[in-house]
Amino acid sequence: MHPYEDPPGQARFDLPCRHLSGTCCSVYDRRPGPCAAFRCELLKKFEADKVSANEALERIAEAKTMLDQLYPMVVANGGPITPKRWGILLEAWRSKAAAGTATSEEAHLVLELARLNRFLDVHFRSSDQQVVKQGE
Amino acid sequence: MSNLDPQAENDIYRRTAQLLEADIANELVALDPEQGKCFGFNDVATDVWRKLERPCTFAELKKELLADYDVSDEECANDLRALLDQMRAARLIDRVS
Repeated sequence: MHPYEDPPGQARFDLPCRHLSGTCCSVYDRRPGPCAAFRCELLKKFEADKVSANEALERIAEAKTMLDQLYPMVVANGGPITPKRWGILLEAWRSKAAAGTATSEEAHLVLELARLNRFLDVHFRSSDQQVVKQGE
Repeated sequence: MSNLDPQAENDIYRRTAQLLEADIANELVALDPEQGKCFGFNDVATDVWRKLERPCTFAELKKELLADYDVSDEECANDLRALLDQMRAARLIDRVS
């Protein structure tokens, strides 16, 4: 894993983790403490009885469907789906859009990634982790 | 009651940006290719953006929102004004007095 600083002062590890096998952790029984302690917002809501198991599973299935649909496009554009990668793609598209050289395919990819990230923001990420802000 | 003057109630708002849009339940994400910007609209902003498919007065927008949401006239007017100002600042709409 390669730590990076993004945003400044906030150390993170690059994703995806090399211990990820499909959608499962391959070192689950001896995973690092921060991984074991992590709770996404959906899991917190489920544990607080604010979301039923069925609703939570539906949200996870929706997210997985979106990820599966986007994955080939993202791989073709050079990287995994992470908040950092989203930022890089968005900035690249902004530069091209400003220069008038962005293609409709690139706009489509950015739009679909924005849709995915907004879905993850709403259901899985805490407010300080969200990446699609109003008027970004 | 809203504190807006009658003139402000008759201000007309209209879209100025052509956005690429994608739905997520009641929300919307959108790109403005001309500005190179990405927007996340919550449910109310999505409603207002869709109503602005045709130019609307402030009073028309407020009346429709009051019919859709359980909110006081004053709160609706204040929130709608703030949202329209935000959309204008983002160059998504403009206002014709």
